[in-house]
Amino acid sequence: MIATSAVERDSDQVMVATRVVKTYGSGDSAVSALRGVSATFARGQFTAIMGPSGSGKSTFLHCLAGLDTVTSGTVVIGDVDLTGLSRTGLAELRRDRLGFVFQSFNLLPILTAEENIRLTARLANRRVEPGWFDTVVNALGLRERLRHRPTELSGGQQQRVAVARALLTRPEVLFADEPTGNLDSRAGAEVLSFLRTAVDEHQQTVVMVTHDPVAAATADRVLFLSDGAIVDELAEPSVDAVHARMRKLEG
Amino acid sequence: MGNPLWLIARRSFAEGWVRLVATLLAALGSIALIAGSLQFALRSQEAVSGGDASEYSRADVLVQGGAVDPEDVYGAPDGRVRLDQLTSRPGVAAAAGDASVAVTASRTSGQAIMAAAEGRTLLRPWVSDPQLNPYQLDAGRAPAADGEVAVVRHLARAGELNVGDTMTLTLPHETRQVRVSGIVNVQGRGAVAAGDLVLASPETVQRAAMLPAGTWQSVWVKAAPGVPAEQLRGELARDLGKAVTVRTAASVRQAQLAAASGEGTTIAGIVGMLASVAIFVGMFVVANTFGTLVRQRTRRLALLGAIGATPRQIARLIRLEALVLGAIASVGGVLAGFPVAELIIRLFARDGFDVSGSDPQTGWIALTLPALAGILVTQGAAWQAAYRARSVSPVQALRSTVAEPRERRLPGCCSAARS
Repeated sequence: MIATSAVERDSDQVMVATRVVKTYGSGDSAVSALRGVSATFARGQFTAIMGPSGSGKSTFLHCLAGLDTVTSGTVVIGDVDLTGLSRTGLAELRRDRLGFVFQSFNLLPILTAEENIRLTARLANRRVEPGWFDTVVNALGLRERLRHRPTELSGGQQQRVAVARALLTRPEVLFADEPTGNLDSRAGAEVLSFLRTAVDEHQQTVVMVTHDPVAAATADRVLFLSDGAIVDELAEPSVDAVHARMRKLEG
Repeated sequence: MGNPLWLIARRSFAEGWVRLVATLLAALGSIALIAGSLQFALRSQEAVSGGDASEYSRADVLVQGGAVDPEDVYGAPDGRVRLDQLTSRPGVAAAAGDASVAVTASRTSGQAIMAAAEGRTLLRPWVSDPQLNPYQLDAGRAPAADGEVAVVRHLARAGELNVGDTMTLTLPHETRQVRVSGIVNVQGRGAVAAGDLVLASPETVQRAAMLPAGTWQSVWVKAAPGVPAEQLRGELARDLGKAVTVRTAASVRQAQLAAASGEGTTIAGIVGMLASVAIFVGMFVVANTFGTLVRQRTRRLALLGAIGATPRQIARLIRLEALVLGAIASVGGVLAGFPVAELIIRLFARDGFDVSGSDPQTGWIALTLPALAGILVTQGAAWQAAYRARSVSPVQALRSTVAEPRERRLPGCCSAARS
């Protein structure tokens, strides 16, 4: 297991997972999705999580992001232990300190692009600096699309709106779950480029689950999960190196 | 963007309103029934509470011929009383003969005019002595000749009669045309506890009641100044013997009030029943719809939870949508309550309980109470759905890769017909 000893937090560590266990069901029918996973995530780092289907990578991301509860272990973001929070506390933490980009875009169809982008901040009753809104919208090329509803946007544009929504609140960690999974290669590359830019230019911490080696190669490091445990880690990944590790994992 | 929850609730309602039409109509119908029942109750109260208006308001003592059933406050006495027995007695300031004959009043078209509430229409003599006369003229003048009558305001309104119009009176032994010479109120009311009154000259009434000259079914007595009514009653009872029943006018008025209040209890029961049915139906339909709505919007609610809406905010979203529905249904329901009340009134009038002569009620109780009930019913009905929405797990936003479908703009049957 890699990185299990990196639990000492310092100023560069924005998130620490320690011996995270997630088990579904109980007794004979219990299924272990995560079996004591530990990992640290540095501020301003782009981490990709990869693994074969059923390896527990999405479950790990959900537990890190407070979208799902852990059976045991701890997840600490900043100075807050997620595992001790109520549903309301978790919702407020996600709203105030985290950002999300999902595979299926997940925009509210009844709101315009701009309303979707501002939604998280509005839920927190927080005012966004106009300059930052403009920066994000311009960087993502959404200026001309702000008044459009999601159904009037292409898949790539919808995902860019989701990225803008996630970035607008300047989250401590941006979680992306297969963000390019529903996009063609060009739109997918654009979204990855935006995430990379956010990391490089704004020191954004990004944790991304993907099955695509090309996407994983845009990250600073790749964590490989198999059978509910981290089994490998690759720093400065290249597409070929990620391919090789995945082939090895999948036998 | 304003409040995001309000915006989402409004847009969700605007987008899904066609599907909500059935629910909206059910809620509106429920509120209309509540408003209609209340309207009916208030109008009944106004009509029945002719009950607190009494033709005996100026009299002190009533001398009624024969024995009188104290339970039957509106029954005509079965004996006779001579007026001159009383006029010259010490302690009596004034006396007036009274008789009542049940009649049916009809328009000239032949359509019967129903009496107020559950009352009857009675032919009574006009009382000319100002010390005893309880009838205040709203229009016209007192009946002066045979063939002229004054009618109470309710009868005039129910029969759409004005001064100078002709109406038909069906008496026990004859039917005759009479002319309305005046319209009166009694203590400000359009009717009395007994029902509607048609006031004719004493001679006309005497003849209709087939009373010998100088005799009446009862005599109204005004006590002389300084003579208590109870004292006068005692003296008259002692002197006139068992051929008459002597009662204070106050005791008769009291008995009439008690009878009216019993009537009010019955109406309250009916209204309570109608309102309960309305509330039950409204809550059932709205609760079902909002339950379905939450199930259909699980992903949307989960997404909101995932990006940071607290469980309380998610529940509030459902309640806001219910509030929009409730507000629209309340406004529509209160307006629809007026025709509903007319329908209820018409149905009750067929059974002899006619309050159609009363005015539609537009006070704050008649308007605000059903609207408030509508908001409470829809909020109460959406409560469980809101509670369920709170517990939607944010992970459910990620489970399906299929984007949430747009809400159907047409109901199922229309969509099916279109495809």
